[in-house]
Amino acid sequence: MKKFQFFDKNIRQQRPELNFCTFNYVFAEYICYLKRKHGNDYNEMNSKMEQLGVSVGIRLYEVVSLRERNKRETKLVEQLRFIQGIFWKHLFGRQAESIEKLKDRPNDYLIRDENPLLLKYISEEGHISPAQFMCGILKGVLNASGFTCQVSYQFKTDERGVSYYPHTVFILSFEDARDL
Amino acid sequence: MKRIYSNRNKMMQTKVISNLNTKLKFIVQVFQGLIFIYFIYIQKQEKMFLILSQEDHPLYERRFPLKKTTLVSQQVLNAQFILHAALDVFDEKYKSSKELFLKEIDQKQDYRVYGYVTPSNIRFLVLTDQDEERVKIFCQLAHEQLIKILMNPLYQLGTQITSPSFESVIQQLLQNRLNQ
Repeated sequence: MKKFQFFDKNIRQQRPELNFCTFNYVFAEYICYLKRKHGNDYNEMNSKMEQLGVSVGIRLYEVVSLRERNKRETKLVEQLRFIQGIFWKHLFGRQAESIEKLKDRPNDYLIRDENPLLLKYISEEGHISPAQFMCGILKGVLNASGFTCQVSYQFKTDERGVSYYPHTVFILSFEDARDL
Repeated sequence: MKRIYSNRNKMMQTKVISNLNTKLKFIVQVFQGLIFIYFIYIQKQEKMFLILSQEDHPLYERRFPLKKTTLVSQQVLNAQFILHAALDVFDEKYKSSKELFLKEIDQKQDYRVYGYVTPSNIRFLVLTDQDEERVKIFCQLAHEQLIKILMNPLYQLGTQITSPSFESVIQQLLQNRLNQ
């Protein structure tokens, strides 16, 4: 009977909450580990963080769908709304600010988050950032639901160069024009 | 005289034997016909439960092959063949629908193929003779168990599921819900 204990748990009704400091300790240690391992190779560090985000994203997407809502999305815009609203709230306790689309980039959508939770205790450094981890989560969710895309991030800066860190914008570039 | 007598005996014997032969042949043919009819009316089809990933890799298969395959007529098809042949119809249906449970996709005499999609496009296929409600409940429970497998960080997404406890849990579900 001991084997079955794991499968007997009801995951539909669990709504576990984690202390943010606990998560932050682990996350900060992970970033230190990457730095020690790859040194100044920023591309490698970013791709590792993104890989981690992708695997987290796919799993979380299934669980959140099961707990919050039992439907799938076939249209891109509605999927983005789901991510911005329910998914973000489930992960970070808040909805993301907005979904935007620029005129001069027809294949891209932007998701704006003015104060991302993960960046709360992490300072700004030019080349690497845990925002790449969040990009990975977004990429995992979108790829799993059938919309292939690449995700990158940008911190908001003024024309004068004033930075509004940690105000982040996630740029989702879709390859397949049929998805749009 | 003796020779003619023996010839006549022989002729009579051959006549009796040929009569017996035709009678036997007739009886054997009737018997074959009965067996054929029996196996058409009380026809048992193989049943199967299949889980496919987004890239069409089979993650889990469970067949219920017929034990006595010697006397079965040629109309009983391989369950795997039926399910794979139903994939085209399944693809059309799940790309346009928001629902998770996609009712009946295909039909073969009394046995029907049911489909179910998870939000990350993992597909369930069930070939059975049970009705819709039972299969729907079974699929929802199997979905929950699948999520528990997905949450395992050591499980590579897209590979076969080899966990023995998953197999026993699915077997329990099949016995309880689908009388398998």
